[in-house]
Amino acid sequence: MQIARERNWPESWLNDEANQFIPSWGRQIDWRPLYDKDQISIWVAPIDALLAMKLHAVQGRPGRDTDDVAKLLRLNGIGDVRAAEAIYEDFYPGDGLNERSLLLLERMFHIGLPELPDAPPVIDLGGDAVRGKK
Amino acid sequence: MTAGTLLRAARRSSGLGQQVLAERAQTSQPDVSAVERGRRTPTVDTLVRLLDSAGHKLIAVKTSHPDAVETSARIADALRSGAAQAALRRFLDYSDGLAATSGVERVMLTAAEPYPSGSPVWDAALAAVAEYWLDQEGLPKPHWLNDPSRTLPSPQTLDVSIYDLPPRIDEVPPPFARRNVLVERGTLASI
Repeated sequence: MQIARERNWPESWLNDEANQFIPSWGRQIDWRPLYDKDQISIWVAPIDALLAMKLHAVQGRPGRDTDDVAKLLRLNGIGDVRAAEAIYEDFYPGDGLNERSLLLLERMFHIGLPELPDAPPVIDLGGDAVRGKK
Repeated sequence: MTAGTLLRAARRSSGLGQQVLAERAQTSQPDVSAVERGRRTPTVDTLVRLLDSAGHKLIAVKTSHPDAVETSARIADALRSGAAQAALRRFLDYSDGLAATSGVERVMLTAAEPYPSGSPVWDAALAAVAEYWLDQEGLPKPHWLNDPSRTLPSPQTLDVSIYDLPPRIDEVPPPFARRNVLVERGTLASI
């Protein structure tokens, strides 16, 4: 709440609404710690899990995450629809991509994926996780 | 939201030129221009006087979400930088904010007429999304939503990503379809 007031954000800015995109039954996400100190813990998903979760998100929300999916396909070295489906089903077994998502993937590979984005600088947030201590 | 953004939108909404507003507010046209361009930050009293001269009142609304005036300015900034993705994020922030609010708060986020973004399709989309969320609760709609400039002559998409599939016409909500803006209902789902 304090951060919300300071930054004029909605009080609900920190929430767990994105949980619905986190796979429940498939391959476990190998979360990477960025920061872990006191009562604050920040973790990031690896790019294969990010791709799977973005594919899960675009299924019902056209137009929101299209470029993110294309970049993540490139980052993961995914070259065709079947390989993209395989990653998705790894994390969401039994779900399968819907027809619209498959058409989107076909379009992406037909047009060609974007160039590899530049890697962001390494951020040192301090805390035990980054320094390797625990 | 800046004083300049607020003033420029209010002035245009009242159909006034800078010179006419300046005369009414007993100041100069360069002064009005400086405020609108952000080169001069007026005191609150001065801003109130300027807005009053444009037939508007300055009020405070308890909300943390951007309104249509601020959103249009943000979209304009993004488009000037060639960042269509950023424009989409601003548009979706606005839509998500409307979805997260209700009643009077939702009405207030659509009440003030925004200054045009410079892009007819985004201007039409802004009016469409405001009407879409107001209709969800049967709330009153401001007149600017029906301005003819916010309806396109022919159907267009927001043209954000080269990878986007053509929208499914039967998935475009009526407020968007009427304005010839092809945005699917699913795109507006916040989560």
